[in-house]
Amino acid sequence: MSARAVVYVHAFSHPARQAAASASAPGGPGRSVLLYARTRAEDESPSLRDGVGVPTRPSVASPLPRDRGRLGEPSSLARKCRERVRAVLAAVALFLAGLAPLGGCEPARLAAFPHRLHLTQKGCGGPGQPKCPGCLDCHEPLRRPEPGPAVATSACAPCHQSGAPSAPGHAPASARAGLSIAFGHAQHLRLPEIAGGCVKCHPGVIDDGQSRPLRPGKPVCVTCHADELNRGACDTCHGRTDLRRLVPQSFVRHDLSFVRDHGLAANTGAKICAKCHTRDDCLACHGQGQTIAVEARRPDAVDRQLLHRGDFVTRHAIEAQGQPATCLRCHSSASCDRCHIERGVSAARRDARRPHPPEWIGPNTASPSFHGRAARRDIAACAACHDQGPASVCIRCHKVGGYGGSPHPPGWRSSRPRSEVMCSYCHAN
Amino acid sequence: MLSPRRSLPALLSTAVALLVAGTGYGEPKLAAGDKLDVRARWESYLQLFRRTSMPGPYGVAVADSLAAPLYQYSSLRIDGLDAPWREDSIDVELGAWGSVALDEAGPERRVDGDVTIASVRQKLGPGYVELGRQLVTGGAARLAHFDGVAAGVDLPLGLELDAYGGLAVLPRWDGRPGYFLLGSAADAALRFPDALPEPSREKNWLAGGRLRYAHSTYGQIGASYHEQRTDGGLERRSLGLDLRATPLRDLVALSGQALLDGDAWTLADARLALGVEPLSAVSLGAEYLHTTPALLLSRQSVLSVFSLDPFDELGASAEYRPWPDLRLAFAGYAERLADGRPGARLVLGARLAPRALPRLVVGAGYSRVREAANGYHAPRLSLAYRLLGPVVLTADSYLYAYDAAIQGAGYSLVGAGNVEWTFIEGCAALLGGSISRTPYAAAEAQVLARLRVDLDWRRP
Repeated sequence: MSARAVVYVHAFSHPARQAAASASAPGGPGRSVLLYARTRAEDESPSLRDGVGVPTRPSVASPLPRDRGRLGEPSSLARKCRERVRAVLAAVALFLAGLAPLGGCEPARLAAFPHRLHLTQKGCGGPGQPKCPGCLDCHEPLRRPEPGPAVATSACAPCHQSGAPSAPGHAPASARAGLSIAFGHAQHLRLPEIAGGCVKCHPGVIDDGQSRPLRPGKPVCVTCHADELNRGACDTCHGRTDLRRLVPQSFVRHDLSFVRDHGLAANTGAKICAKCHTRDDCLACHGQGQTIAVEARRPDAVDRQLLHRGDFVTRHAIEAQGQPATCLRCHSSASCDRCHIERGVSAARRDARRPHPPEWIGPNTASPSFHGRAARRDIAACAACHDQGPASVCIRCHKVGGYGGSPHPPGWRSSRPRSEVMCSYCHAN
Repeated sequence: MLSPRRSLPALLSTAVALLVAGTGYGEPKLAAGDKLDVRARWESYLQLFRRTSMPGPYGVAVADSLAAPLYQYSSLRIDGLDAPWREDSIDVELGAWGSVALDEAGPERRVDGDVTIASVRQKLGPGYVELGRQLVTGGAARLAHFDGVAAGVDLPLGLELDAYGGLAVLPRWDGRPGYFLLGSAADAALRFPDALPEPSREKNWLAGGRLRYAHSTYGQIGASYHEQRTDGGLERRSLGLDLRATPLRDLVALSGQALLDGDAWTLADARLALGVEPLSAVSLGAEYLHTTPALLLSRQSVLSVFSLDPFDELGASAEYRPWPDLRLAFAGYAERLADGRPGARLVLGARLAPRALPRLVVGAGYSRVREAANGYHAPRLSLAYRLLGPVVLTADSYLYAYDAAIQGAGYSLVGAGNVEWTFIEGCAALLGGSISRTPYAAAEAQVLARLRVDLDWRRP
């Protein structure tokens, strides 16, 4: 497998850093990069922000150094412990001294470089004047396939003898905290669609980022890399060590609507889900066999929208009534009944409490309380207590020859033969 | 209790997966550029204390209970193991859980557990074959858990074909209710399913497949089929259609799915969702849902033939991030049942992570649910605070005020707090507790301890 020649450039993936980047550009903030991914640390769980404003992933992170980790070279536990103890002692000392900082360091910001000024400056190109600079005059290293700095500092020397390369705007990309995108400039510059033109992907350079982004957002990448996106080949662009720290946004939002929407997303993008989640993660919520609910397993995930939080036992009947069959998307009626048996509200218990109103059963079929009406509207609710197969109370009356009559609604049909066991409960030969 | 005979397929899958994982893991050296991802997770839960004072059936107080069950969850996923014939071509996934009641002793001690996932996937060029206990999601399958084989291939012209089949993994093989096997109301109350004869797994199988077409710019569309049998009878037969369209890639996304019941030939479930992001700080959504509840019941349920009345829901959601510290969210849904009775739900949420106080995140929410018979108002407040670098405090509180009293009580109150200490990167211990007062529990308190180890190696 050949190693790819890539240059890692920094991706502004969070609104905070995005705003910081934009704000630092001449002209103030603008809509620079569309938000497509957020760091898990910043956006998913409040417990994952460290004290210095740099996103980390404390509870689900590699035990190895992020950039140097490799299998077979485990880090020293003792060293980690010493570092941890030192950190704790330092924090305690600061706290005792009344200096425990509530605020933290600002994340490193992208300092802006006045691209437009340099590209359109006066005093170049004329007789006796120096040649006007092009993008690749300064960014000549990007032509090379091997990783390296994006700017050739020597290009500044003809005009800036005072050492301009150290001026704001030329900080190396690696100095900025956060995530990386694997991108080969040299490879892209050779593409016929780009033909060495930088502005197509970097429109902000000609207006200094006031209205258009200096760095391309994900939509620009996806113009050509849509297949990788559809295949879930996220590591085509994202650093592999970064992937587990990102929360996708363009594919499925991990926010208030996630619980409702993730099923739709999983339909078409299960491969993308699998980049971060194991199938055991699906079963943590959807597995009916597990004896401890996901809400009990994640009591600290206070900003996630877990369905069964709070007093779900009391409110579940209200929720189920408003959204018939929603429970059936994860639970079988047998699992509902199992709990109802334990709590004494199932028809399978002789001493069950009877929750139904007067005239639920009886000759007054016109009563608004009559059970048939409720059963037609939400049969799934009936099944939560009365789905006992041949022992179901319903078929005592609703069987062929029974006084309950046919329970089948108008338009009902089935391709199964009446000889099937389930049908024979009512259609006895 | 676990039964080796019942769990034979899962145990075999686990053995094979472990063997493959062990063989690959034991490779002395990885070649340059070789990819390998290993993720292992270990979670232990110990319920230290639980005391409940319940009104109980007919108002009789139920005795307090103390229990100390221990739950264990473990999972391992290895991607990119080398096969002799191809590099990085084998993926292995394992997952299992177990529990034991520490407060009981001897033969009364309850020990339980199961293998949830144990599969080996071999990637073969544009395709793959996967063997073992696995999960298939999406399309007509919805979510199917089985012991068997799955295979797929990427075809030309953006087509992709997947197929699967095997013996169904029942919700709990040893937790089956007895009434399906016997036949009287009295027997339905049988509480010792181990006394029943072993069910035949051969009569519980499923199979299905999915064909997908993906356009590199405008999205994808898929058609799928799923058939599942329970005790030899039809559990469900579904035809599925799903789509995701991005006509204006970074502005509009349209997703949808439809399930057609293959027994009644009636639309069982359909959902259409539209997402719009007009500005980077604003997200809007709209959704329509149509469901026929009876058709989501098992075809082996007697009640599944009692109704075809549908249920419709229309909703909208919005999220606004006025500045990076603050996120505001709204979601509202209106429901219409077949008899014309309406219902509605509203959710408002806010999340504040002030940059001036980077250790603090505050969440607030309000829900309003109004259904035909009852409803509730539910304010909620939560916060997380990083006390020290590795120590995080979280707290959560809920109040539910019911429109009509339940069991004579008009409200529920729940409060919970946790402290988590990440003592080594990837290793964290949590101690959490909650107290509540609900219509069903005059008072309830519980304390839980959790140890979580999450190891993650990636190369390169």
